[in-house]
Amino acid sequence: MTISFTIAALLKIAPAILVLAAACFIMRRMRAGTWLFVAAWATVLLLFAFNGIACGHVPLGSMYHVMVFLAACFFPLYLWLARDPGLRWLASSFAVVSALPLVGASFMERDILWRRAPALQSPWFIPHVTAYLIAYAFAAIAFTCLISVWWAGIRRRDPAGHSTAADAVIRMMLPFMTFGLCSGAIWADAAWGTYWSWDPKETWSLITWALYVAFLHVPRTGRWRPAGHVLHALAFLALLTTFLLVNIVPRLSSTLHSYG
Amino acid sequence: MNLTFRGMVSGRSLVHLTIVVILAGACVDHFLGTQQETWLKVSHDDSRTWQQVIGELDVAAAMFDVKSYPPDYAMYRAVATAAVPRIAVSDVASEALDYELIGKVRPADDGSVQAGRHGSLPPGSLLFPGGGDRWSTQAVMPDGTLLHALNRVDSDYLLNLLVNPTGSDTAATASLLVRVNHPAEYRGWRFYLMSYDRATRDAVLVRIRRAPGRSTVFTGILLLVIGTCLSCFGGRQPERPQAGNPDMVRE
Repeated sequence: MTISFTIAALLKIAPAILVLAAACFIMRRMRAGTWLFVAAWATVLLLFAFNGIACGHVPLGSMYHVMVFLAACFFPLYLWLARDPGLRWLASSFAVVSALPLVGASFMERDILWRRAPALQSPWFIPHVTAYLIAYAFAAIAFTCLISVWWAGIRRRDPAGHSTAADAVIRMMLPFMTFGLCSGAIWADAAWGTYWSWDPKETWSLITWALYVAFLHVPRTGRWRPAGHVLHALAFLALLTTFLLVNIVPRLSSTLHSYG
Repeated sequence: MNLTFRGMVSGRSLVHLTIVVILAGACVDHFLGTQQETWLKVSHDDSRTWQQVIGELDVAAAMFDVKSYPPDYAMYRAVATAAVPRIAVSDVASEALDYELIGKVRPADDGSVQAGRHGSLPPGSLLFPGGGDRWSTQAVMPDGTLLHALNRVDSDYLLNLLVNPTGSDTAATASLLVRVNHPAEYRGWRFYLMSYDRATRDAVLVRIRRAPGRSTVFTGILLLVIGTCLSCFGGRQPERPQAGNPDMVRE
């Protein structure tokens, strides 16, 4: 219907603006890039609002909803990180990475009339999901920093700046991921009568958290540096497993976390 | 690395300590806690089916109710197919036509529906007369679009549980309301609604649990969040070699 058409249109417009913003950032046209980034963010917020109007709840119930919210997380996080002038060069990464969930969402089934199941009617639902999505947004940026480290190595440039940025972003991310993990445990205690049930989603989220914590424990100097990069890459792979593969691959499927 | 800053070190120490606290609470629960899951038959009259659990409580399910959201409706447009002559297609839907799904629409709680260019139906149109929570299976919009009700989604489960210490008289019976995400508590025992028989709705799965390490685990969880925030936000960030785009850094 009309709202479906509007949602479909916004889902195409927002990533297009983000790609333009990224192009501006790469060409060092920072002012134009920033304005385009603002416009794209406003478009994503509009999309989020339409999703909420369509379903009558805070739209965080399906993978499509989550992808849209994830895309909306990047710009405020960029503003937060950009308080440090040494991290403003991340703008292009933020613009590109925030377009990716929207591109993914445009290929997903959009259950815009989603209903909130009884198990999701908890005060922990919104903080738990929101904290995790903010953490995932930070983690995606940190991983692009890691790719930049590798790329700088190939181009024989000093990767220290990228490596330090990755550290700073993961340091920002970890409290959100920890809160997501802990709020999930508290919620599970109220919903299922146990704060931990070794459900695949829970297990993979614990593995992801442990790998990021291990990454922060590794010294950043000398021969330990490659080990840190490997741990970072493994942690991001574990995150992708937690976020996507557990929902997609039948052998990893989570029974307790599957809500249509 | 610049990790010797006091806030970070104290935060890190707290995080390490909290992991010990959480594991200690979990061990207390594992070795000293008690839990049992049991199916209870729901009574539809005054006769109660009491069941002994944990060896010290008698429980009975006095009432179980499943609340549902109003149904969403699929919208179908009448179309002509090879099997249906074009002449038979009119503006009004009829059983002689084939139908094509064109979207979904959510009615308002008062039984009205707004479907954009397909028009609207006034309040009460989709509700059965006489009140209650019965919604029409099918309806036709002013432009001939057919509405067909989709499966309703559960919105809440309500269980009225009666609990009585084994051997005591019925005057001591406590009546507890148990919902998903809202366990009931009785003398240190917590009662959780886990599932129900979807076919008959006359049996519910209840978990009864006593977890002496629960408050220890929750304290550990709270301190873990605080410790992580202290260690990640409370400290000075590692120094950068140079501000600006690292691509500009020369070898």
